[in-house]
Amino acid sequence: MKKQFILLFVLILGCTGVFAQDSLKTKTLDSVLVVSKQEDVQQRTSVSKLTAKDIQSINVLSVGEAVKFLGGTMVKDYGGLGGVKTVSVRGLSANHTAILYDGVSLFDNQSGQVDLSKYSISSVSNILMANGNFTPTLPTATSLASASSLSIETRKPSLGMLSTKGTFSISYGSFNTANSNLFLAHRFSSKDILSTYLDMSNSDGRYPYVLKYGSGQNFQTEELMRENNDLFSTHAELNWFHDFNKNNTLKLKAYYYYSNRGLPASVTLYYQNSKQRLYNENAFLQATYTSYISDKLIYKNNAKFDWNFTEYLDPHYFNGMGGVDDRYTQRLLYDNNAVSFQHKENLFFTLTNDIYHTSLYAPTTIDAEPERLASLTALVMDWNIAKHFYISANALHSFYLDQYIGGDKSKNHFSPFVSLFYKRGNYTASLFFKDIFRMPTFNEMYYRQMGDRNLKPEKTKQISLTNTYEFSYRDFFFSTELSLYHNDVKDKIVAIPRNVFLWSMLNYGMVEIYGMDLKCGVKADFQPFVLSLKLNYSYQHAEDVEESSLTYGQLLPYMPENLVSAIFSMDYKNFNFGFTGMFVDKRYSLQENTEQNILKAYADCGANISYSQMFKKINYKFTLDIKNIFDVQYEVVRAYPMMGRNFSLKAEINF
Amino acid sequence: MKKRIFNLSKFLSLLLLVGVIISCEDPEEKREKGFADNYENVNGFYVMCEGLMGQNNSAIDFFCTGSNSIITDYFSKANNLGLGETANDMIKVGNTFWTVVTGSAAVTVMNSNGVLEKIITITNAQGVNRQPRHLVHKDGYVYVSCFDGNVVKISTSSKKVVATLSTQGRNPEGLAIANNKLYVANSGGLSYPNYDNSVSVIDLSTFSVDTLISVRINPTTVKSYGDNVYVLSMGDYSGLPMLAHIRNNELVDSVYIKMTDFDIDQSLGLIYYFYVDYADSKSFGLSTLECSNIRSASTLLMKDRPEGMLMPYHVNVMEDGLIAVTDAKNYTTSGEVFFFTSAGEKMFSFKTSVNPNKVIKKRSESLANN
Repeated sequence: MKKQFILLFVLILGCTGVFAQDSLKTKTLDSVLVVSKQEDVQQRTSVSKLTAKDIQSINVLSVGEAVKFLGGTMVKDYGGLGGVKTVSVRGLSANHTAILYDGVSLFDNQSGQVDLSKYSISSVSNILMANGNFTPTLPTATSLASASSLSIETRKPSLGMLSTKGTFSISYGSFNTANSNLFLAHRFSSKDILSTYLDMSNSDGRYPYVLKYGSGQNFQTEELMRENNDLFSTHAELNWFHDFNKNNTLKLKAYYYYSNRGLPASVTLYYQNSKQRLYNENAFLQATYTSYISDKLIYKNNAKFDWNFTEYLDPHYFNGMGGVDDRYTQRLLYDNNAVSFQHKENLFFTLTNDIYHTSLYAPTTIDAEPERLASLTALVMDWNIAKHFYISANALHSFYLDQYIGGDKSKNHFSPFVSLFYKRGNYTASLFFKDIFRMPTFNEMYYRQMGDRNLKPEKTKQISLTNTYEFSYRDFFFSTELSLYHNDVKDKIVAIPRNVFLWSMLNYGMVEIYGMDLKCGVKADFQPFVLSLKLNYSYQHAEDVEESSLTYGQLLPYMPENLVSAIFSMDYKNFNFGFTGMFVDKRYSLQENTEQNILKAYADCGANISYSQMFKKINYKFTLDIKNIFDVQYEVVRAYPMMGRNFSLKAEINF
Repeated sequence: MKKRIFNLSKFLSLLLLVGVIISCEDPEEKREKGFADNYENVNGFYVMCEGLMGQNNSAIDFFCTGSNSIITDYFSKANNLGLGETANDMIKVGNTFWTVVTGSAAVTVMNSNGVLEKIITITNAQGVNRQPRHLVHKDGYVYVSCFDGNVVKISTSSKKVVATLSTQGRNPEGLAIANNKLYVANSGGLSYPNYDNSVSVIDLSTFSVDTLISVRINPTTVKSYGDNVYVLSMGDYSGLPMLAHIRNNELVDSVYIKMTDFDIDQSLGLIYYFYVDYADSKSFGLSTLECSNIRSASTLLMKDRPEGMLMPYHVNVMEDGLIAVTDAKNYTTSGEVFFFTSAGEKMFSFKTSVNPNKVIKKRSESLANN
């Protein structure tokens, strides 16, 4: 069967190649018009965005830190630079969010959750978050197969002939946290651009925290240091942008990541001494080929090969073998083909298929050696049905075949998506319905002693209504967005962390989530001041509605009811001032809503000031940053204290 | 300005006065004035609850028999200190209660009123948690089995570790004393699937290992009755558990038996046990078995779980013959303790903290006295 997998794969890749070559020969008319029309029709879902400017105001090192400010997101953060960070959206677990890196999904079939602390922000130009469907011109089927999508877009500079652009920066801050990164882009010919990133971070992560010996008010406290929380990570990336001609483009990406970190383990009363380590290596090759075959037909292919190695060490585990040494190797072969066709002036169809094969080799913990073959196919229709009215709908078919030592399991599923969109002047309204499911992960199904092969997929039904309105008043530009949503989850699989790396799986039955996201933006330009403020408020109520559950009617763990985030920036001449604020309401660390399980509400504010100066065509920039200004002691995850007040200094040159 | 200084000095002198008054009090007496003081003359049961890993929510609850009320997390309320991470066993030594807290590397001693007396740290020379699991006591010493392969000997008077001995097996769990010998089950539970299968016999007069007795793999619970020792092996959880009967360094008998946990009624010489069949959510089978012959027919006291019991977890035989069965529910929410008469009739139940394990009566007087 393994051979059959490979054969099928080669076949599909082969077909793709043929198709691509054919399209190369096609001389087409200017298709730019078509693209813009398609984008006009297809950008129908509300998309939250962190722009380069926002990212600068937030001034963090990893994508995981930045995503906290998107609004409607909850980032589970284990603290420190090396602490695992995963994002959950609108009360759904992290497994429901697809993470795209330059248009192609990042896969982690072992845990199903992508650790966003692995992705350095230095190479990122935009971060987009879409509820419902993320619809770029030609979406991949995997991005349509998730409740929400987070898209990380790296920088692609516009370059003149034979010109070079680059950025180099170094920063140093509290707890011996150092980062340096380099970005270089060069146009070799009218058709070729090469760009590269090099990024390196190091932190000893020793930060002070206050351990409280219980939840009561008069309980004793002790000042301690977070130990074994160090991180060294490096990330290198090479991108090649090649334009065969105006209508045929190719993007190639080679990506490598290495990290070696201490896992400080959860804080335990009376005893701290973790020597756990996590070592991770990830490499992938990714190719995106786009062809405007005719003014009505666009074709895209995304292909990827991904290799991911993780090793978890715990010398203090008394297994008679000198401790734990668990190794996990994941491999992925992925291919996406998408065609978009304009049937009439106001009607577009897109057919997209993803096929991938993924395997996990982890002899010490998952002896079943699972492999998964998946094929996801979606037919998308975008129809401008009447003036101001648009309908977008798709039917997604998913097929999964799991093979493991001792058996196999397959799954077929049809998932519908419908959205209605109304746009008039500066006002838009969109309503979508989405029925989607997520497959249980390899950990959930095959983990030794813990996994359950009969685990059912987790099904979600989403209904969401979004209104946006934009207007200008004098020198001010306002944008507002109000979303109301309702999510139903059936057969929910809940992960409760036992330590950073191990989770215990629970089938939670049924969950009902309803909530509201309110986003306001103000921009004001009265020279020499340029001001920008983004305010997000989210209310979410995620409740256990399984009648037989012991915690029926109670709130889900790690789902706060109120979330507020704010980004403010002010430019004045050569100065830029950035401020961020965040408030997260109380939440529970276990399903039972008892006082003992409460994690306190917290507010975290940061600020930075930077000065930039051009000198001989080089822009120099210096940034002074302070995080957690009020030195608030808080935990996002139970027994994982976060950093108190900390500082950093950054120097950057742009040329 | 002058006035302010005057006020300050007045304030300081007042402070001084208060300080003198406080220091005049007996420090012992002062410490007793607190939450626990209200329960000085209240009888009832202490319930040691494990809590859930990573949550630091181990607890000792107190059930007042007079008022039929439960004070969850009594220990931390009495001491303004949490018990710690994953408590695993509790015993009564004279008028004190000793608890092992595995994740916190601690043996915690509290007086009969729940007031903390001492936290004894159980780490090795490198400062690594030995992971204490169970304890027993005899003649002024408490013996603690530790997952790192050792038994730690603690003096009850000095409350200090006086000796450490390797059991010559892996991951010691349950232990019991009979005939001045310590029997320790080496479970090997952390090296799944390569379990250990030995019981170490330690001579308490020399504190050295006499011999190792082979039983079925994964021995966990050990209890004694007179000169007899009973060891329950869970195997690899796929087949039936096995109960072994040991006397004077010899394996007397062993039987495959549907048994999840057991305890012994020392006055009757009866083993009380139950069995959880994971495929049958009703299975309970609270039964008794003669200590003298583990092959004899057992007596079924109660076939199905009483209403409200979801996951029978541990059985405790009280000094006065009452049977307390703890209910772990779904292991993440509040638990419950069910009391039965020695004939297996349900008496009452009460809610507890997460994962109740051990139930011990606060004082030895019978329930009727309160």
